[in-house]
Amino acid sequence: MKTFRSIHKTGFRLLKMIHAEDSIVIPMYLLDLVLSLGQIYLGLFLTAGLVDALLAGEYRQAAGAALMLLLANLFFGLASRLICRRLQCLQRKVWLVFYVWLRRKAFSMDYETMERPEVAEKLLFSERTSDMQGGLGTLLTHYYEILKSLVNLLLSLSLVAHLCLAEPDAGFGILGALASPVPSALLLAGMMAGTVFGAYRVFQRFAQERRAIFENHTGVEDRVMYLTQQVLGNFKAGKMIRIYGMQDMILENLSVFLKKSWAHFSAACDVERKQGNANRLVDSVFIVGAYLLAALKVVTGAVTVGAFTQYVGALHQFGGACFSLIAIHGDLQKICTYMEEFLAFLDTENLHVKGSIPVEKRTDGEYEIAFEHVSFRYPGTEKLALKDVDCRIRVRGKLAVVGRNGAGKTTFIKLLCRLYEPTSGRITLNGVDIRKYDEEEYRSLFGVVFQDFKLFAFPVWENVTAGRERNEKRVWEVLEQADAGSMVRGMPGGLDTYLFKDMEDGVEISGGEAQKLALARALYRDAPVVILDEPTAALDPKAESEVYARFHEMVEGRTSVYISHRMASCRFCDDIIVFEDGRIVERGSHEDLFAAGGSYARMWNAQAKYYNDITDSPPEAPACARS
Amino acid sequence: MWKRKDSDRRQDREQTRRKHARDGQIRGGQAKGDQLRGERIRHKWDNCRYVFQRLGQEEGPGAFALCGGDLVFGVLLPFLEAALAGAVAACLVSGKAPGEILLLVAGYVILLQTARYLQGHLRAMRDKTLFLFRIDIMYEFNRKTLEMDGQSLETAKGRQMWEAAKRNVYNGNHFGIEAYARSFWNMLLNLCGLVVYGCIVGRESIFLLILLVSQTLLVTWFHGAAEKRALRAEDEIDGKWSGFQYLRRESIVPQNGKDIRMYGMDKWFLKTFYQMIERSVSLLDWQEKGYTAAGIANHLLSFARNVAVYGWLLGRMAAGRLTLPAFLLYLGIIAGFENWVRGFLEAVINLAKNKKIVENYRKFIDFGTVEEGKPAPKRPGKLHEIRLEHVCFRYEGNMECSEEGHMECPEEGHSREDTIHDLNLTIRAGEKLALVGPNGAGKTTLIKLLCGLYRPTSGKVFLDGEELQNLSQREVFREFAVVFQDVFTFAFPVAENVSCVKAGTEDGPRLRRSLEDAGLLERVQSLPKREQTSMDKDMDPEGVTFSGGELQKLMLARALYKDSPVVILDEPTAALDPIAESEMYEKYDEMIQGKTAVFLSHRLSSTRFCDRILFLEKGRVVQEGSHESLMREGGPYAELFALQARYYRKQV
Repeated sequence: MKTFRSIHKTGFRLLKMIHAEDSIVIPMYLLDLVLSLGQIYLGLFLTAGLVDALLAGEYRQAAGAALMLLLANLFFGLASRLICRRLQCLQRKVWLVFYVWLRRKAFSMDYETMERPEVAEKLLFSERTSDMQGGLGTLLTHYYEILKSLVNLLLSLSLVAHLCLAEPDAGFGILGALASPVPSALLLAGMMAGTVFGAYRVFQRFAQERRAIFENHTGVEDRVMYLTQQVLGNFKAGKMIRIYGMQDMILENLSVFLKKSWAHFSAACDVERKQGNANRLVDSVFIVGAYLLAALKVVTGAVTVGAFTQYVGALHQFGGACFSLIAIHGDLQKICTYMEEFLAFLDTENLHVKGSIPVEKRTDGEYEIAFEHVSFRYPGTEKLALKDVDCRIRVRGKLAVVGRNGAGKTTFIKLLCRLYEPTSGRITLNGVDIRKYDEEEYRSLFGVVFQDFKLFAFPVWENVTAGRERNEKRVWEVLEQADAGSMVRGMPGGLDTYLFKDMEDGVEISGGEAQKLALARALYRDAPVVILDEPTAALDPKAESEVYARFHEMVEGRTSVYISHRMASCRFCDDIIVFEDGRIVERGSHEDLFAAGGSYARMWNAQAKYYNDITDSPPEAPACARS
Repeated sequence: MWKRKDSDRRQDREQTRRKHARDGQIRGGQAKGDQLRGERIRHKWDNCRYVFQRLGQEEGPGAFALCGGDLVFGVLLPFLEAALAGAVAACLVSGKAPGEILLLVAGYVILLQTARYLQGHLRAMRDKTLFLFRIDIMYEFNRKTLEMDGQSLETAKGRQMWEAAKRNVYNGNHFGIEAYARSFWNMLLNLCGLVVYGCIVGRESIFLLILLVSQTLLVTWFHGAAEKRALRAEDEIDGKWSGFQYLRRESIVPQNGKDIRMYGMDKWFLKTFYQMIERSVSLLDWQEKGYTAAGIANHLLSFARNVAVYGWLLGRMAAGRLTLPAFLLYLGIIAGFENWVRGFLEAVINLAKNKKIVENYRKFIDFGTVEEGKPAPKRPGKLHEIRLEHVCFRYEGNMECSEEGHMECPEEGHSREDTIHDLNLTIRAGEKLALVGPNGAGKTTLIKLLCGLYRPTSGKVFLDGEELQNLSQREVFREFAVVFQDVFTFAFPVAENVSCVKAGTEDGPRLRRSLEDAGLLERVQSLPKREQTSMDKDMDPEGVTFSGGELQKLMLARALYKDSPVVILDEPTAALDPIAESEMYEKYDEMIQGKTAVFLSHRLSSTRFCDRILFLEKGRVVQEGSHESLMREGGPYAELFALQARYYRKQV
């Protein structure tokens, strides 16, 4: 467990952040606090007056007191209802804003930092705990409750002090002696100390037990969730489960964890109940004592019956505040411990220093990129993904990158895009190390379609412009280039049609259509370098051949890099790099490499052999097919 | 799964929205008002019976004893609390000896505290039972999901029903069957409280009772109006919330980070986030405005009522017809009455909310049940002949379209076009058949029809002359090994993923043989726990992640282990490099020896090891024959082949 100081250091830092986000939140909570305590204590006073007046038979006075009481209740009720409306809204805002803070930080990190397991874990942990245990909003209300309990304790103490000070009438013997200020103060102080101590002990004991239970439980919930969401909720898996008759196997796995879950919650409920019982027991002893003490004061004539109700009320407040203070502080401790992870995430430093020099703007697109003895190892792995890669990408050339799965093609692209930095060696743009450039400016040189590219559930035009200003003419232009024009025109809202159903009721698109839109997005940037990683994987042969046919037009006047398993695509690239095991093993034109009979030729033949059987028969004359 | 309340509440809105739509207030949902209302009344008791019957079955009669005990103490305790102030005051002014007074006061307080202790204990026990009841129901839900008919589950309707039913058990303590049972019991409890208090007040004065009841009704009405008003914004709040959740998820998916950084999408996303928050807050504020108005009305009414009540009580006291203790008791009773009313309303609202969830759950449980007792195929494990007669298939509603580029199906209601149209086909025993055609031609749908995953909209499918629909689904599935386009593994050990049977019941040698034949044995042997190593890290943090190529092989191993007489391969090599692809083809070729096989691919070259090729377009067979004959014939197949072969063949 963290120390008291570090807990509140975290807590206050977060409160400050909330205050910076919206400066009305904390004052609103304070106002609410004043109102709710005001209602309680004013109520106690006025009720006491009412009872005394009734006992005295002063009905006119009693009516006045009653009216005051009712008016006070009305006033406080109305005021807190009005404040409640504001608080609800503020609470929601604070709750949601937390997720945006996380993302703002995530966006500002470089890709490599973000991909580090410990960083990603912090992010996910913060998300999950905020979802499950309550986040900033809960922290805020906890602080509110704690402050309220503290003030409540002070107020009830000062009221109760009055009770102790009241002198009993003479002639009650031992009872009178007990009721006189000093003994009664001591009695009360003893009771209060006992209650605080008891409440704390109960909390401690069960906190330990609870921790033990929850530690045993780590991960069970995640697994049940995995099984429900990813296995049962994955409707694509449904057909596989059925064809392969996996039902029993899955149920078996599930029931193991459901049983654990059952046992856990059963135990957790028991602890909860026992803690509740113990708390009630401690509180009961205090309340019995409190009533007796107050009654003692009444029977010895020290206070009136009206005052009795007031003091008993105050003592009730004391007990309640005492328990809630301890319980809520315990919860706060938990939340602050979680939140430390969140703050640590916010404090994560980028692995790499960001450069700042602007990229030279050239209208002729003369950007020359070179890899100089670049090696790269993915963080947390031992094997080099790229080994001593040394190459120059021809300006305005069409470069194809081929190789087996895992040979380093995509890594090459990621380094080029500066998503990662070389472990050794350097990459230069027009002779300057790319690390020295301003990141955003450098990236603006590239229009990329990654293998696992992503479109978002926003309107088509926003996807194409990536959220930038809408230039209608240009959007249509690139859509046409990417062969997506007729598709978008066919959508119900044209450019304003939402994709997918996540944000609005949009259209679903196929993998092939998505690829076309991603291509349009890459072209919209009008970047001097266009990179396409497996852009035809989801297309059928006809659509694939159409993309090939348009390729020249699309990349005209730019440098282009093309990765594909379809060897055919190499035919229209003038330069081919072959990767094998992280190295560049061959480079040249299709003709040269094919003639060389190396790695490239092997791959080519593996695919072409089925077609090559009939190379002797031109497609225009299929009549004389395979012999 | 036991999320905090805030997010629960939001998810629940979907429910409310549906209920609302049924009331016919949204998008002209042509509600058949009266009929539905009748149904609803019938349902109320029907659901209650269902829930408590299930409770009895799962948790035994003890559950009811606990609920009963809770009810007794739940009514008793507030009454004792209300009576305490009066009783103690009576004691204090009774003029008895001080010692006696103190003893009496102590007695009262101890009695009250005992009741409080018991009530707390019983309440905790009751809630625990109801909580565990929900966990028991979870198992039922999961089993249902696994054992129901796959096609029904895959339809948009099925998925919606599944999502709705899931809320019954996976949405925390405040939603679903647990909350239903608890709300129902709370409703009873508050009702009892109301009756008891009503009797006490009514005995003293009918006038007071009428005053209380009428104020209660007014408050209820105001609150109901505010609730109704708030519902009008729920639709948009729902949409905004799921949008927020979507963007939340997508903005931190690691692979999306590449696009986000390369295209500088961060500003776009942050702006959208803030807009969504602002909108969400202003919608909430709009709702709160209604509640605030109702709250203000409530406070004013309470004030008026209290003035009347206090006035009346004071008048009675002044007239000497009421003692101070009685006065205090009545104040307590009247304040308590308000609590009962509030509790009752809350319980009724919760009950109504959860009733819908329980209903959805029951609908799901009764939905798409697989008929039991159908016979198994006559010749299990033998080469089968499959025949399709005039088969048509049309996707229902928003059913998941496995066909790439099938744009028609996500329309409202039914798809306008048949995905498969009047198809006749016989696959002879031992034949190797290739299905080719453009995206959206209906290839994947056709194979789902072949193996009985889908039932034809019209027409029939026969397995060795027996109609598929008349056979036991599970037994029919045994005859098929399908390697689907989408690779899917579970975060279980490799052995379970390949053998698909319970841990420990797999056939070891067979498992190793299939891994070996799939070219995966070496890799699996090198893993820390060999074939008992878990895949991915969802279930076991020590799990291992496999590459795309390895997963492809694992899918093959799964089919090999199953060793069914019919093999279906759906575009299995899209993500592989040329060498791996070529190796994979060889493995497939080997695997389908001596079996009936259906092969789907975009790489026309790969269809060459098939006896017969079917060219599909728009759900119809446009060409059919061997590769040679189709090439000779010309037409779409030859054209497509030429298109693909072109780049490979122009050798220099």
